[in-house]
Amino acid sequence: MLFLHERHEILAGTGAEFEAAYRDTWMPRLARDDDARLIWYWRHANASSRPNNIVTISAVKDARALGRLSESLQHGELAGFASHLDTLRRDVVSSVLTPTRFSELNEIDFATVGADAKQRHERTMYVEDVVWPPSLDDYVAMAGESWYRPAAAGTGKVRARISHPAFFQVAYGAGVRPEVYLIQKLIDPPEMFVRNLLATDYPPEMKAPDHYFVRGLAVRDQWESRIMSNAEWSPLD
Amino acid sequence: MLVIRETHRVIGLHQDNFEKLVRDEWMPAVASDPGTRLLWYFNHAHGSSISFNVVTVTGVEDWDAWGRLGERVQSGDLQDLAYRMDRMRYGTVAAIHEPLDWSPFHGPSLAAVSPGGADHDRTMYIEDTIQADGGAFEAGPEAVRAAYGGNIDPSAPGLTELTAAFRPVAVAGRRGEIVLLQRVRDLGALAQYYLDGEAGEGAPWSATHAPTPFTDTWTTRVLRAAPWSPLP
Repeated sequence: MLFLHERHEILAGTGAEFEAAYRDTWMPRLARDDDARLIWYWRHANASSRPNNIVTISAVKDARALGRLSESLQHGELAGFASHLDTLRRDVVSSVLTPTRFSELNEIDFATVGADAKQRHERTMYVEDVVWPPSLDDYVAMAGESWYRPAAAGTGKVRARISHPAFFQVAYGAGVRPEVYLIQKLIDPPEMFVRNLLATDYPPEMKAPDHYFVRGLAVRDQWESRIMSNAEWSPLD
Repeated sequence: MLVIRETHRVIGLHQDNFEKLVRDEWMPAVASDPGTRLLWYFNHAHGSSISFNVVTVTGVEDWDAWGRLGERVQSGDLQDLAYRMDRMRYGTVAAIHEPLDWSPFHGPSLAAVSPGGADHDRTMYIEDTIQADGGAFEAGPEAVRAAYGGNIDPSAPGLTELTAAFRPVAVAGRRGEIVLLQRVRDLGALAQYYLDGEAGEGAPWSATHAPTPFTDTWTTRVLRAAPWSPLP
């Protein structure tokens, strides 16, 4: 399973139209066949980092299906859709992600992924951490054992409760290496995240030499966190 | 034919060992799949821009071949080699490209590309990456072709000749980019151009071109193909 990650820098004021294009055209178009689905539509929270950014993630069955999708966007049925989006955005950068061996999200039964433009769920918040470790494999091993698994199991000590739906790396030749994506869904209310994480210094125990956060500095100290609001119609809640 | 274009930010101390590892181990290992071949190994010329950057271009036959290569790198026989390369570089940035319709290069038969490299003179290239913006993404390639002042026809005289024109595929790269790989024919003429700024015939995009319908901006890299690079 591959995951097409697209970061769109949209023009100010075009958010509703851009979102409608993904909800009303892209999502049902992918669902017409059995080899791809939109799974998340995220609005990168303004006043947190980059303005006017949207992230979309679509699951694609395999490399051949990804090729068909690429062809359709470039030369085929979806070329007009892409050109329409171009009038609403300044830029778009696409990467292809693949699950690390730890990722909970791995294979997806596409029959279970909704694609109805009218579908709704509670608005949810995600934090997407994009990490640039010096050594990809060393980081994946350490983060997988010491951070991802405990956090996903609810046994890790974190300052806001999260679930951990996915842990991706970039597919060869289709983005940055080393680059890793930790997809974290907030379970606690957003206010707790803001108060306990954003507005609070690291507690003393997180500065202890044997704490994962400190030990982890050997394998990573460069990352970017992106606070994402998941659209109410986004197929995965 | 798809091509993977990678920029490796190599750790300076490992420059020579990185090149040896690619030449002696990575290149032949990649070629064990008939659908994949290393095509070019370039050093970004010191003295022209950023230090210790290496650019590789790998040909893959189709999306299935790319999928196989990705699996080999992530968890197969190429994982250890990729790990060793990671120890010699700060990182890489890659995108999957396809040749434009008017590119002289459409990919050789991969079976004809030596899996063990070649032996030729060093070859210099000017690589220009143009960003078509302002919603002109789709029209960009044709606009670039219309504005191009260099040699698309290899038989025409001039400072450079266009070897290849690429753009990223829709799912892996930055939309709107167009890459022109232009072989330098005469180092003396290039030096003279650097001195006096007077572009002669067949100059690369970054030396002269007609007006474009998008913001006229680009980045240039001066690349030097290694003498063992499968394509010169």
